[in-house]
Order: sequence, then structure tokens, then C-alpha cells
Amino acid sequence: MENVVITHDLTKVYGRGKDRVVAVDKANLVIKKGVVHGIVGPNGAGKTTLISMLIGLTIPTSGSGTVLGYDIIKDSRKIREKTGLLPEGYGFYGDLTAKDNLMYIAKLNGLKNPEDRIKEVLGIVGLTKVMGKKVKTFSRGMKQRLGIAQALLKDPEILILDEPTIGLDPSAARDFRNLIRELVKQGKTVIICTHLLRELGELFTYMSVIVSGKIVAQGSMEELRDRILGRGMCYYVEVKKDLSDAIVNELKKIKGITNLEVKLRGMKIWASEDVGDEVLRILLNNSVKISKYIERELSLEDIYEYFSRGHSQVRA
Amino acid sequence: MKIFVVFEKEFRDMLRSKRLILIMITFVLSYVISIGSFVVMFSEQGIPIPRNIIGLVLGSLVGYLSLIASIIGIALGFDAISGEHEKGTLRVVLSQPIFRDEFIIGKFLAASAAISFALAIATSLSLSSAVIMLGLTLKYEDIVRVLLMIFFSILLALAYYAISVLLSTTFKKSSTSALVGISLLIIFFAILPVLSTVIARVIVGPPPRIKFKPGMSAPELTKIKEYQRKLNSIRESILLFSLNHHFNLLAGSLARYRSGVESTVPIDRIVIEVLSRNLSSLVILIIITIVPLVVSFILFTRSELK
Repeated sequence: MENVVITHDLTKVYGRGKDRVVAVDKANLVIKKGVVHGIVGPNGAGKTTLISMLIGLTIPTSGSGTVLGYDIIKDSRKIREKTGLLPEGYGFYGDLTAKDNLMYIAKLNGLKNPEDRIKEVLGIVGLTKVMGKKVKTFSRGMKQRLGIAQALLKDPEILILDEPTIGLDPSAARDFRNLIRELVKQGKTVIICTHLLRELGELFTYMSVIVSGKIVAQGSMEELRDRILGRGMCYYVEVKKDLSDAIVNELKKIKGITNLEVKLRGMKIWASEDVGDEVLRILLNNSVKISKYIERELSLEDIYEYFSRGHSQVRA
Repeated sequence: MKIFVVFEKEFRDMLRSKRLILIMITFVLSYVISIGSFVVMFSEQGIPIPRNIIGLVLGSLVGYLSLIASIIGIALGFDAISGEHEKGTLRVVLSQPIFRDEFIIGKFLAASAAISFALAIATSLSLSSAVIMLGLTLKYEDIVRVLLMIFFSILLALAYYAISVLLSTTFKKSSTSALVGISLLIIFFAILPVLSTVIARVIVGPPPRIKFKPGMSAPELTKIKEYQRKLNSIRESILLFSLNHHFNLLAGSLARYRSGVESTVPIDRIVIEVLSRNLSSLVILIIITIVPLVVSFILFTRSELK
């Protein structure tokens, strides 16, 4: 599968001396064509800076990269011709109508039949009826849909969505997911930056986990789940009293446990194979009273949590 | 050309903006009221309106134009960049295939057009009202003088616009940018003229104590003249820092030129004389428009969108 985004040691440093902040640290990002690629990380991890560098809004401190074969520094204008961005918080001229906002963007992109295209994209996001209304009267959900219409206006090859579902109600979030699936069917590449895995994770074909500016894991969901962790399992145990160090150390010795995190009156275990019986055996042998026991295959959130807490620097 | 797309959108927004319309209405109304008070004063005292009152009419227009042009410049420029940041639109616009220089130049061209349009309309309306109320007939020379005064006021407004754009590029918040812009206006328009006199008096000291009597000797008169010359020279040096002072020199000298007497000097000679006498003020206004814009341009094109 063709790669549409490739970066090599892409780095962005803000400030100097004491104020020096490494926003993105030697990121080697690879995004394939026609997939939904999630860039996942906590707030302030460097997701927005990373995509800003891809489209020329921010100049990298070092490193290089290409988007659709164009150099991110020299050919940023060409990249912006072929990519649509929905920035976090959207961003519209409130005193203008939805149609006028889109008309401005259409003209900046030199679209030939802007009227027709505007009607088309407003139809896709279901805002045709309110195209003549001022954007300041729109709800958050309507603004988000208008933001997607704006990003789709130029019929981009890559759609970049930065925290697209923040503040959306469940129904709007579901509509959004359906729209993304439809766009991928049409061959578009969709890059979603988010920290809300619960809402968007199911869309991802590929995922990059970014923490403190570093890409700590990257690959397809299967790769992340199986190739890195084997047949990943996750256990959550709640107990009546806090676990002693001796019990924890005994548990850690079980073959297959990749990480054990002790919590208040409980613990979370990541394992590369089924270790449930052994865990229960040790707990019961030590007369630990168990109040809750959950055993399941690794979910997307478990994988994210695993990498985002710095347990591994593995890359697929 | 992307510059013209930005120009078209910005120009339309500026003309529709409530703040610009409000400033224009305030300007026209206050000028009309002040002319109306002249008319009332003349009629109450039973004095016929002097035929050469045009000098007074234009002279009072200078003060209004100085204030209103400055306010328009600040009103259009204080949120030029910071406002786009705050609304989140800067990120959307700059993620389109447009260069930053095209964006900022488009904005400046739109502001220039909107300022010219607003000042021309507001001055025309104000002056027309004065002409009707005072029953004046404007000569060709008067119209040329008014047009030049409008031109100088556009320069003043653009200088304030350029400073405001620089503030808007430097400060993240539009409110901070507006506050600094208004503070500058207060300093230039109100504080510096008073302060310059106070400082000049402190430096030169109290005026010479001379009792005026008929047949005063030449050396005594020279003493007074010398004192006044020193005072004015220090005042003028301090006022060089005021944008409004340069406008007042240019527009004021045009308005006052031979006012009160029936001038036989052709208008082209008046214009040449006024410009040559105040060329430095004209150059300063142009420089103060260009320098902040160039600095804003450099800051904006190099700024990071985090």
C-alpha cells in the first residue's frame, strides 16, 4: 500500500534556554493511503504540532518529511492544495453565513464552480437548509459539520481532523463516524488526532501513539495488538485490602505478564498470553479477598494506555 | 490572485462593520452640531456670516479629522491578526493554499480602501452639511484643499492602522492590542501637546518680566521674541513624536492658508508651498505607515501556529 505521509526524525522545539520545549521529538511517521490513521496521545503530547508541520503551518526545527510526495518545507502550498484540515475548535467568521464562509475558502482554493461544490458538501454534512444562516447562531455540532464541509470543499486527497468529536453529543459523534467510513470508501486518507479513543478508536485502521512529543508505537491495530504484545490479554482485579509487596512481586514473576500496575485496592495486568488462572491461584493462596475480577482481550484503550505510560518504545 | 480574494472579503467585512459605521456617524453628527452652534451664535448676535468663513470651517474640520482618522485606523487594525487567532480562523485560512504575505497584504489593501472610502464619505457628508447650513459656495480651490486634507487624513489613519496591525501581531489578545493603541492615541492627541508645553516651560524657565508700554525698545521686544522662539522650538521637537501633530501641520496649514483674506494665490502654488514647508511631516507619516507594516509582515510570516 502506498505511503502518503512519511517523516524522518521530524522535530519541533519551541523557545530557548529554560523555556525550551520539545513539542515533537524525532517523529518517524508513516501513513498509508486510503486508511483512517489515528494519531493518539494525551493533551499536549504534540499531535497538533505534528500535523501543523505536515501542512506547513509550523516549520520543523530539524528532520524532513513528505506528504503526497511533496516536501513539507519547500512544497507546503502544494500540500495545502491537496489536504483538508479541520482544526481543533473549528474556526469560522461568526458574522458570515455558512455559505459565505465556505465561499471564501472556495475562492482561496480557486475552485471553478464554487456554488455547486458548496451545495454538494453542505448536502454531505446535512446543512443545506441553514446555509444562509450566520455561523454564530450554529450549535457546536453544526459548526463541527460545517468544519468538515470546509475541509472537504477542495475534494482533498488527505483529510486531517484535529480532535473532531470534542463536545459532540453521542448522536452527532455517530453521524461523524459514519461520514468518515463513507469518505474512506471513496479512497480518501483520513488522519484523526485525538485523545478520545472511546469515540473514534473503532474507526482506526492504523494508529500512532504519541507521548511527550515522541511516537512510542505505530502500526496497524492488529500489529499493535498481536505483533507487539502477542495474544494480548488484560486483567483488572479489585481486592478488599491493598496488596502487599510480596504478593505483587510473586505476581510479577508469572511468565507472560508484560506489565502490572498496582492501584488503590486493585491492579491492572497486561499480558501476552492467558495468565488468568495463575493470577487467581496466587491471590487465593495468599488469602486475598477479591471483590471484582475482569478478564478480557486487549482493547484499543489498553494498547494506548500501555504505550502512553512509557512501558515500551517498540515500533511496528 | 489570492491577495484579491482576501481583499474582497476583508473590504466587505470592514464596510459592514458596526464599529466603522458608528465612528462615521459620530464624526458627521459632532461636526454638524459644531457648525450648527456657529450658525446659532451668528444669528443670536445678529452678525451676518462672514464670506470668508471657509477657513474657519476647514480649520475646525482638521481637529475632527485628526481624531476620527486615528480612531478608524485603530478600529480596523487592532484585531487584524489577533482577532483571527482568537476566532480560530487563522489556522483555517492558512491551511489553504495561500502564502502569509498574500494574506497580510490583502488585509492592508482592504483597510486602505475602507479607510479612504470611510473618510471620503464622512468628510463629504460633514462638509456638505456645513455648506448648506452656512450658505457657502465652495470654489475650486476649496475643493482641492478638502481633497488634500482627506488625503492627509487617510495617511494618518493608515499610520495608526499600521501601528495597530503591529500590536495585533505582537499581542495575542485583541483587547491588549486595542488598549495599547488607544493609549498611544491619547498620548499623541492629548498628552503630548500639553506635556510639550510643560517641558518647554521647565527647560526655558519663566518668561522675561517686561512691562508692556508704548514705545518699547527693540532689545526688550527681541528678548520676548527670543524666549518665545526657544519655547516653540522645544515644543516642536517634542511634538515630532506625535503622529497627529504632523497631520495638524499638513492639514492645518492648508486650512489656514490665507484664511480671512480673499486669496489671489493660485491653488497649485498654495499646495506646493504647504507641502514644501511640511515635507518632513508628510515623509514621517509615510514612514510610520511603512515601518510597522514591514515589521508586522516579518513577524507574521515567521510566526508559528502552535
